[in-house]
Amino acid sequence: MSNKNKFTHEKIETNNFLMIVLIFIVILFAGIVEIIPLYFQKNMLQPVKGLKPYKPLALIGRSIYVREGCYTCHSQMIRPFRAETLRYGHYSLAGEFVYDHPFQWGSKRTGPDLARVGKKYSNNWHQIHLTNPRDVVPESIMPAYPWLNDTPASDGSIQTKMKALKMIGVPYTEEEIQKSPEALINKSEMDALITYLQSLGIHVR
Amino acid sequence: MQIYTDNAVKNFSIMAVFWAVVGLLVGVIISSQLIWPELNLGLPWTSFGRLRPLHTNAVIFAFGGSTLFATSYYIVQRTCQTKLFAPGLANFTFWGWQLVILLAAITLPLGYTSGKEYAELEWPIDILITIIWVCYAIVFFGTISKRKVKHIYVANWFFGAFIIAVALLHVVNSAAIPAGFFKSYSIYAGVQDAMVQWWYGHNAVGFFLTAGFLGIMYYFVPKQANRPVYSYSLSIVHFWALIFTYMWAGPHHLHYTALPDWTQSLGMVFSIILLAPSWGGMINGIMTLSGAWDKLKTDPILRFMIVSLSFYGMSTFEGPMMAIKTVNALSHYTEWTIGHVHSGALGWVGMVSMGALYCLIPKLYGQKNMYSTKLIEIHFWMATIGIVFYIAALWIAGVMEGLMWREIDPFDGTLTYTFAESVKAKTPYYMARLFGGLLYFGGMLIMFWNVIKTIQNKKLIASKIPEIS
Amino acid sequence: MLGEFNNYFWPVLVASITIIGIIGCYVLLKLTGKKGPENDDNSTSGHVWDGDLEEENNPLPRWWVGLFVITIIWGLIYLALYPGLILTDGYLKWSQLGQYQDEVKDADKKFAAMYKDFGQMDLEQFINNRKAKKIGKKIFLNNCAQCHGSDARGTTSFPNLTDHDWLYGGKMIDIKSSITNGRNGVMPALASIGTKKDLWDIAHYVKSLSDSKHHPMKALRGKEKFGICASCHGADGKGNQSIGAPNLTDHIWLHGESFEGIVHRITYGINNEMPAWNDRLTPEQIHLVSLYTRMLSKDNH
Repeated sequence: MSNKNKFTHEKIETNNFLMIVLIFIVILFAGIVEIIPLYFQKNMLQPVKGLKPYKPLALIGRSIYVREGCYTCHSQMIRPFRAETLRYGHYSLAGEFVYDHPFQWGSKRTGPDLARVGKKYSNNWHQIHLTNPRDVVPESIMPAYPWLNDTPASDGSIQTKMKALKMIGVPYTEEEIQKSPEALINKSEMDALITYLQSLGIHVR
Repeated sequence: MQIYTDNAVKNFSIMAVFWAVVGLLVGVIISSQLIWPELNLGLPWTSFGRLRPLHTNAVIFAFGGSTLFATSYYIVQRTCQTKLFAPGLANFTFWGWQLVILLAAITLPLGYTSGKEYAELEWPIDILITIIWVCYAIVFFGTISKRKVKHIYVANWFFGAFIIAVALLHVVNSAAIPAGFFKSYSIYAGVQDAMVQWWYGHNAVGFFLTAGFLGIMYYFVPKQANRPVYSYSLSIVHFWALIFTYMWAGPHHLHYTALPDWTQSLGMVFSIILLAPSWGGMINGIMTLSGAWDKLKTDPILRFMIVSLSFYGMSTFEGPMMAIKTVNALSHYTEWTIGHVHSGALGWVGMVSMGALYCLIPKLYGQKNMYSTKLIEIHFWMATIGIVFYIAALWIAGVMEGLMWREIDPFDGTLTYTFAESVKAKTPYYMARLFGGLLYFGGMLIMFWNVIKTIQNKKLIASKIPEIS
Repeated sequence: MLGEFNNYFWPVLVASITIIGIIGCYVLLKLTGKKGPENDDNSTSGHVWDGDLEEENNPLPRWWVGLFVITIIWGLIYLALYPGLILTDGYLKWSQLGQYQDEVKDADKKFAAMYKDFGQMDLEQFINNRKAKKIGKKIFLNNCAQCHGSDARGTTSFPNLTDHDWLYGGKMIDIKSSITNGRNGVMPALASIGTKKDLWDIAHYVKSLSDSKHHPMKALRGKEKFGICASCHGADGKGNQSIGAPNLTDHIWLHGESFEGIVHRITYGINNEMPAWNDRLTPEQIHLVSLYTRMLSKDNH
């Protein structure tokens, strides 16, 4: 057929190896362009003023947040629209998430955004709400999480967790890791989760 | 006499049907929980946040994955006119993949998750997936290497791209540092993690749920219609353009976030350019069928395929539209996204898989047809009507809540609605969605029954490899 | 924008791969589009698989080519107008934060003067101004209702705002202060002041203050132990608004009226916290929602 043409697909579609290599090269570009430069753009890497790595109890709380799949219904990313900043507070900044492994921006708001839920409600409110959301918000369709009250926050994993995070760049000191189990004594998973929630978004107003 | 090695094909086909039932059932359960939140019965393991990843993993990787394994092993043999390369390895991929699914079904309800959407499985399972995927690539490309025909058939281009891209995406996105046997932290943080995740997430759609299933389409549509593929050059252009541009579209999941403007713009531009390459597949499919309209009246399998191509065209149009920043500002975070995903998942992926499996299963078990054509017919209508209810309900619910969230009183500048009001307003649409979902699920149960009856009638015949002329 | 990168390497790379990629789509289209039904006598590509699988040589549908080309051109135009190539911010100098600032500026222009007026209102003016009342109500519903309820009647541990019982005072200045800076009422744990029996006696005395159901003998014994409680709740048990110590002589039980609950709070103490809203609401918004709260209580004479 089209062998008089300069370009022909014949060569590719009759060569398994060439096909594999070409496919691989073609799909590589996007990642190189869209991902890697984000590691060289300064404002994508600098923590906002006052931001510290999660304290041990908050870190355990974050694990619970991830474990319970809260991100399937709650976003943590306020977009720069007035309707959104009126409802949730200042729009989110890249520098607020530099210690978030993994990020929890979410993709769905079955419940409201939580990026700045920190210090918005009292601990007591969170405790009542997480134990049974409909006690305070009658319209809520959130599951109740009463078992968090009865489960201790410490399962002996806190130092392993902090060490792992330190290996990938979260600046925990040896001393913080050493002392971390103390912070969990007599704390429940409920306490941990609330501590995490109360730490969200408080450095930018 | 040379015969095809269809052992893994059979196993994967049956498990595909089984996992579809399971995955859809979990979907029905969690969509009910959105109406009746107490439906987790007070148990941690059945709460929405833990079951939702189970639902997505079960339908995408268990049902979708098993379908792709089955059809690709079947198609690559037929279109290379040779046996599978390393059939033992193919059987290993079957048992390995089922093990992965089983582990997912245990660990996700227990709350072991990496917390990244569509990539929730923890690191030991991720490693297992990687091993299986390498074996899959060896079997697939090995078979192509020993093909008896000169040209690699277009279906195999798509399967090939799907296998290579998924390997790349999985390895990069799942890179994590373990903290114990069932906990790990993504090595990326914040913005970078978000970008990697949606580069992965969008291309899980692009390659797992699009390229792979286009491979299925390119074999079963011309086969079932008994017509040649419409345009060879269209295949070439849309294949290369699709796999190139799809990879760029991820940032449209992060519009107006803390991701820099430039990355968002690139995501949006390539999402729009993606429209034509996506539609190339639809055109090739529909135009291939176009010489066989009469068969549509009598062949419910062909009807599954034409409807699936229609939903494919619809959702690949809706996708680029939702990638436009102005539209996305409204649609993001709402039920509209869920509706969009399901028009692709139920409409395109589900329907084309069902069509292919209805085609495949009788052949594998030495039958001329499925046990009951009437039941296929009923399944077809239940599925189609179910999808329509589903996506219409969520489209309305999504646009409505998006508008409620953003409505500002023009006279005093305050928010018009509370968040709770938007939740309450969605209940009737959640009901309609559940109804649609139940219909679709019911159709799948019928298919399951039909498949069991077909297999019970099985005659063991080996399928012969045609001579090369 | 380059300022966020240290040098030109990544910006140039991003711009060039993007442009080459988009143009590449066009080149692919042109190269492949040329092929097609040159051999009219042979309408298929000539390849056959699996006995009967063939492919026709139909040309690319022209409308589809047109669609593809339009999206490519559109893409290039978009990247010229909007930030995408890093090297340029785009002709329109658009940015999402710029768009946000414009939106806020517009809203300020429209509403700032009105809010400034409303920020000076007194209760009488407020009650007679429908617009101000509507604003107050909406601020309340969007920010306060999660705890105090959409009807402002509160629930266990969250005060009813429609009665006349004020923990921290019901004057405008008190309400505004509560909202602006938040409140934290701390009742310390008092387990050490006596035996378990003593604490139960105190609970009976507390109940007796409001003439609720109680055991008179126990209450009498509890009275002797009430001294330490009186330092906050007052010798007469009427509370102290400067520290948010509730009045114990009325029938309002913020945290519930069970004996067990009262004993528990005496034993372990309780923190009754209201968050500060000064960095979430403007002073004018706080003024309006305070007026609204004040009005709810006034309505309920």
